[in-house]
Formats: sequence, structure tokens, C-alpha cells
Amino acid sequence: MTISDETLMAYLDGELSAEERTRIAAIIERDGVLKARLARQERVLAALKSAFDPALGQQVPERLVSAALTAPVSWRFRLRQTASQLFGGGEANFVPRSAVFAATLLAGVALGLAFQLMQGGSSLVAPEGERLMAQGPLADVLSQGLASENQGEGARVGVTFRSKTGALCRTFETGSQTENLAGVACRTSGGWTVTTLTQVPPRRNPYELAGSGMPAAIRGVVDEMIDGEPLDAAQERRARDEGWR
Amino acid sequence: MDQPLDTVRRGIVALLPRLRRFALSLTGNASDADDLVQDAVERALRNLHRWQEGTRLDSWMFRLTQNLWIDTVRARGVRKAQPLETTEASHAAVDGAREVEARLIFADTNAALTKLPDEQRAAVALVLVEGMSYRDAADVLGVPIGTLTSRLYRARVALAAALAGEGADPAEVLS
Repeated sequence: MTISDETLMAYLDGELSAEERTRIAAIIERDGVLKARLARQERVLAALKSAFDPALGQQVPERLVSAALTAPVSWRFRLRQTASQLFGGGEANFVPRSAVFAATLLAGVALGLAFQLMQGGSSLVAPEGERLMAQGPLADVLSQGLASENQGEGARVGVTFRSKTGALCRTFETGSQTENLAGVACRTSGGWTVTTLTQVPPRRNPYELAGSGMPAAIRGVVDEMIDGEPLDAAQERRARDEGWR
Repeated sequence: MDQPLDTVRRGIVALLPRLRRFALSLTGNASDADDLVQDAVERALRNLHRWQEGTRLDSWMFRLTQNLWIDTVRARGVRKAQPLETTEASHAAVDGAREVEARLIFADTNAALTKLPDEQRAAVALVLVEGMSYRDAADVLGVPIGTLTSRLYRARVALAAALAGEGADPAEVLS
């Protein structure tokens, strides 16, 4: 009875089924040459173990622990987390995975953008912990602006809606004629968390109504996030007056 | 549900001992190993969105470490790191004699490993040192199982011959 090298190796590495293993073990038991071959391989294994296993018991250098705990994390991951928290709620909730995913993709598109904005000292968004928060004129218009009002040149809000997790969220657009950003922000403790941010073509006509040209990508995210219908003008005003709770 | 970042960071901390062992078996010396692990951890966090949640963090980290090492070796232009510094074996010495013995074993084993092509060395590191299944190791390396097992087989024959010292019969299969 011969055993292929392949089988012998699989035997050594514990890759055989219990039945096969028993069969091979019985053959090896009767074959001195096989036994010797196996013994040599066991010595190889023992040498490897004694060379490298001590590394497991050593104290890990502080610089490695510190890297694991503090090294910068990709923005895409942070935004995905934010999106997940906002759309996902607790474990008991049904989470439309696609919503989180769509937001992630979208956020991914704008990743470079978020960096540019922050590095350029943008007054529109700022990182805070693991979130990207609206600030300055963007935070102001999210807190105060109504879609029905003339919101001026800077940032404009589009639709306001309640997400499936209960947060009030608003679409927005900001920018100039050369650069235009669109996104979604949701009311969270401490302000407006930007869950989606993307670059859109500048508006040809500055008098175009906000919301009328909502980018398809943003519309898709809203469709996934929204619970019921968007707020109407009266509901929007009431939500503002009640502090977006 | 996405894992909170803290959980992921702690998961990486928990993997550090294994990553250091893996890196040591790839690089052959402790300082290269720790530099490699640090680079891998930093790169993993910078690219965390690429990690598919629900898949194993350890497999992903091992793959990253392995790829990074291949890049490093290529960038150095010299194929092999210097395996001769046995003083860098970095064993926690128990006493003098055992330390000397441990260093000798490390030096011999490492010298034998250094003669292997990098892809065979990686197969040894994952299956024989880390104790991964063929499936997991093949996933880490991004190769079919058959490729992994043939690398592993060749590595085993070479290691057995090298560690046996007295020039084992190359015709003897799985010697």
C-alpha cells in the first residue's frame, strides 16, 4: 500500500477527514519507512515552533499597540460607521443594508472632497470623533433654513425627512458657480452629522429652485433612508421651531 | 451592523502577538518584523473601508502584512534580508544555556527558511507556524489550494534536507 505525498502531507497538517486519518494512521503504523519520513517532518515542525512560538509570549512593543489604538483611520470607514449608526439604530431594527452601502459609496466619492474641505480650512465641515459634522454657514442653514425661504447664495436646504431610525435629516447643497456640493445631514446630539457628501455640477441658473435638481445619488440615499413622506412646509417650520427633535 | 471602531482597534491589538510571530517568520529578524507589523497596522487602519466586515480580520491583516513584505523585499532590490544576526532572535531568555540553545535553533531554522523562495516561505509561515488550514492560508495568499499545497510540499522537502544537515536524499519524497 502506498500513500501519495499529497495525502501524507495532508495527514500531517490535519487536513484529512477523521475516517481517512484513521486509515492512513494504520498504514503508517505498519511501515517503518513512512514512520521515519514522518518523524523528520515532525522535527521540522518542532524546529519551526521553537524558533517562532516564543514571539507569542513576548511583550508587544508599545509603539505597535499605540499604532493599533491611535493610527488614523480611513475616512470612508468613519463615514460608513456614521451612516450605519444613523440608519441602523439598535440591533433590533431592520437595517436596509443597501442604504448604508449607498451612503458609503457616495461618501467614498466625496472622500477626497472632505479632505480638501478640511485641509483648505473649510468652514463647512469638521471632523469630530468619528463623525463629520456640519459647521459654520452649513450648520446655520441646516438649523435655521426653510426650503420655502430664499436661502441666499451659500448653502441651501432641500427636503427634510425623518429617517427610519427617527432622526430628522435634511438634504443640502452648497457652493459657488464653480463648485457645488450636495449631501445629507442628520440631527444628532451635538449638531448635524453629515452622512453623505458628494460633488455635483454647478447650477447653470442660480435661480433654479433648491431641491428641484437634487442629484440622483442623493435622491437614492433619501429613498433608502426615509420613513414615510418628506415634511411639508408647515411640518418643516414646526420641526425647526421645536429644535429638530 | 458595522463594528464600532474601538472594537476593530482592540481586535488588531489582540492580533499583534500573532502578527509579530508571522512577521518574524517572514523577515527572519525581530526589528524588521516589528517595523513590518507597524506598517501593516497603519496601512490596515488607513484602508479599513476595504476590509469586508463579516470576514475575518486576522486573514485580512495577514494578507496585508504578507503583501507589504513582498513590496519591501522588492523595493530593497536585494532578495533576502540579512538572517545572520542571531542575536536578534529576540527570545525571552530563561537562562544562559537555554538562551544559547534557543538562538541556535532560531538561527538554523531561519537559515533554512531564508533559502526558500518567498512564496514558499509564506506558505510555511501560515500553515506550519501559524497553524492555518490550507483553505485559510490559500485565501490569505490569494492562490488556489493546489498552488499552496505544492509550495508547501517543496518547502517541506527543502527544510527537512536543510535541517537534517547531512544532505538528505533528495529522491526521498517528503523526506
